[in-house]
Amino acid sequence: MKKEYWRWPEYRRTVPGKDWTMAEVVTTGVDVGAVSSKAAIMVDGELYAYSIMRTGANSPDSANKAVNWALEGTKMKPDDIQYIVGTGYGRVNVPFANKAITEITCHARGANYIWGPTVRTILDMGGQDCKAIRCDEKGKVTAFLMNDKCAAGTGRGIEVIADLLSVPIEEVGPMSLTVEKEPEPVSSTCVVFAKSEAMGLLRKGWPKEMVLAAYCSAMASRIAELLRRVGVQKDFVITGGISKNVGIVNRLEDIIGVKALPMKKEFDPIIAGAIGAGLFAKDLYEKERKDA
Amino acid sequence: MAEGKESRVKKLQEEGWIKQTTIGEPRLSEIVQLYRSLGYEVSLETIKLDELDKECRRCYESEIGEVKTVYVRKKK
Repeated sequence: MKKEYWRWPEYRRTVPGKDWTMAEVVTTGVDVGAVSSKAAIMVDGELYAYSIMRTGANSPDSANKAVNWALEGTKMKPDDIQYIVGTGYGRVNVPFANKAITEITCHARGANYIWGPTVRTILDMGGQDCKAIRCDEKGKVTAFLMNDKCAAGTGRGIEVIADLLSVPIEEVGPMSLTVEKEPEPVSSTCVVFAKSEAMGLLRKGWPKEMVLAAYCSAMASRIAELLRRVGVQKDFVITGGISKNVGIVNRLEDIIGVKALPMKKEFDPIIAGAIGAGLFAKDLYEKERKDA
Repeated sequence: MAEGKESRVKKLQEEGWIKQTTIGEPRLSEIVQLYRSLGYEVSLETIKLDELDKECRRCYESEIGEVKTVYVRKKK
């Protein structure tokens, strides 16, 4: 069987030391992205368990699987969840959600939870899109910008290049940083054109790390332009799958001249949107209960 | 054709509109709603295939009528 170099690790986790059975409010945020689906189980507004998995062909099914996987081993049942908010590209396809909220709104709220109230700029580098978001001390969106409809400069592009070069996706970033001299960036981050350009470079005898450096560099430049337009204000954080690619993150930080806050060990930056959705779920549940 | 686009863009800029992104559904409705909630007026411009870069045409071809360019300006 052909090795799938693009495949990133799918996993679930329960945060240790928390007892959900004593909770007043159990909510869930489900972020169904174009590439990955995430579920965050929140207990009294704190992260309790989560899952990260590939989005399948059927969004409702992916949402369901993500929630069930997050619950695995916790003895919590779907009926124990009092309110669910769906977000992400496929948020309208979370049939069991009480409400859908845009992912831009949820990412800002989630970043505020993960890194704290000093966060002012969030870059969400996802599978099929890229968003630059500005927010206030409460995690409320004040401005944002989204890339054009196109997978150029997104996680899907990295997956394609990883497969083309037979380099495991987690090694793309570190390998791209091993070059002695930075090559010229590829001329296009368009998935279709970058693939043929990368093949051309390989035929010319470029080593893989040079090709990866050229691609990561082009992606960093493209993303930097998006950030420049929205304006980067500290503290700056990065969420989404590409936040784990040091080849892009390091180059991006060099271009914009601002360092992103480091990732927090206890929070995977991919689940920021799901966490934000879970927090909104708590607010909405409490409001409904108060109004009733 | 390119001249048509240029003059349209120039007119929008003179009126204070700032280009944000070119995008289709389901994102389009989402970001329009979000910009309005942030106090912006939103103008949607239909894009034309012959005004796009050659390398982008292939991807936009099948949904050219559904993809719009989003312009915003602060409400007076």
